[in-house]
Amino acid sequence: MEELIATAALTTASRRTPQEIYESLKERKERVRKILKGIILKHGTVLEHNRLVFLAEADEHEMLSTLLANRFFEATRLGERTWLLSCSLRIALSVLVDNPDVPEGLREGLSEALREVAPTIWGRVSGGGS
Amino acid sequence: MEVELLAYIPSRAIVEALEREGLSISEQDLLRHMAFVFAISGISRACSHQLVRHRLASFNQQSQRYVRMESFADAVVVPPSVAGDDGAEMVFKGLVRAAQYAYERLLGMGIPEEDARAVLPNAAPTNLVMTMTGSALYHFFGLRCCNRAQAEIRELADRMLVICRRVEPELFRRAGPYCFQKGYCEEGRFSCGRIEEVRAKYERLGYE
Repeated sequence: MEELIATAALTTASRRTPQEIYESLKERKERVRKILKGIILKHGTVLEHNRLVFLAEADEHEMLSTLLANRFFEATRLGERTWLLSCSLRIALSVLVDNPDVPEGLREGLSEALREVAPTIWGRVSGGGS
Repeated sequence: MEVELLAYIPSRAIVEALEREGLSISEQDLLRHMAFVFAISGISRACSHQLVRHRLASFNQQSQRYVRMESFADAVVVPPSVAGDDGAEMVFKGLVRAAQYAYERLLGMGIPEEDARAVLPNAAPTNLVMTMTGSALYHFFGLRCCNRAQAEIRELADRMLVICRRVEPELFRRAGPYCFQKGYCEEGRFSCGRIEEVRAKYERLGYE
């Protein structure tokens, strides 16, 4: 996922095609990490080229809180308390940073996913970076 | 024009995870949770203007503020209607060369790229990364694979559909222009009137 973020960021300011940029970044973890440490997270569109998909256990009130926290969550009801929930990394970050009142289970799920799939971005957010 | 699928979430990963929990999901709902990340290069700015009107998508496009458009005259996208007409092509290329000259003169006078770009034509080439969900792609294909769509974005949509059908042949079997998806044309008096021909094309596209 971090290679895609770096590709999107570099595409905006490069003569090279995104295909070439992506290929050149595939095996260069350190380069990707450096790019991600330099991007301004407020320019969030580079964080949208991905999808985090969760199997969630929640009652209707908790799911309503989640959907009200950010209108870009996508939710499908699979059972009485079972949902498929998805969003982009940008939405996950936005909820963690800007919505202190979201259900605790959601906060834990999003944090765990971010730590795993976007450790550099997670390090900046949890370390107080912007 | 070059189009490549950089990444996507395979439906099998989601479906199998759900099956392990004894759960299932409809194809229509599944498409809403799947993301497809495309790298698109060498399309015109006219085409990218049409592309970014699809708001349920994410874009990162090459900036004309931060990237100097050197020698763009050699890389402009010539519409097929112009390319097939000697007189039209002469007028078109004359304007492009004049625009290139004006752009470089302005830069030479110290005008920054972000202001000199005002003279660039819609035919100037651009690159971008675009992400859409499966359901947003169905809508995109519905509108842009249609014969009413402009040739360049129709070609782009067709190439994207072929790629989607290659990686998810069953999920995108019903994708294509709206006449193919719905069985009737929504274009009213603007209809191309060739629904059977169009439907035959999209039955096969990407599966041969």
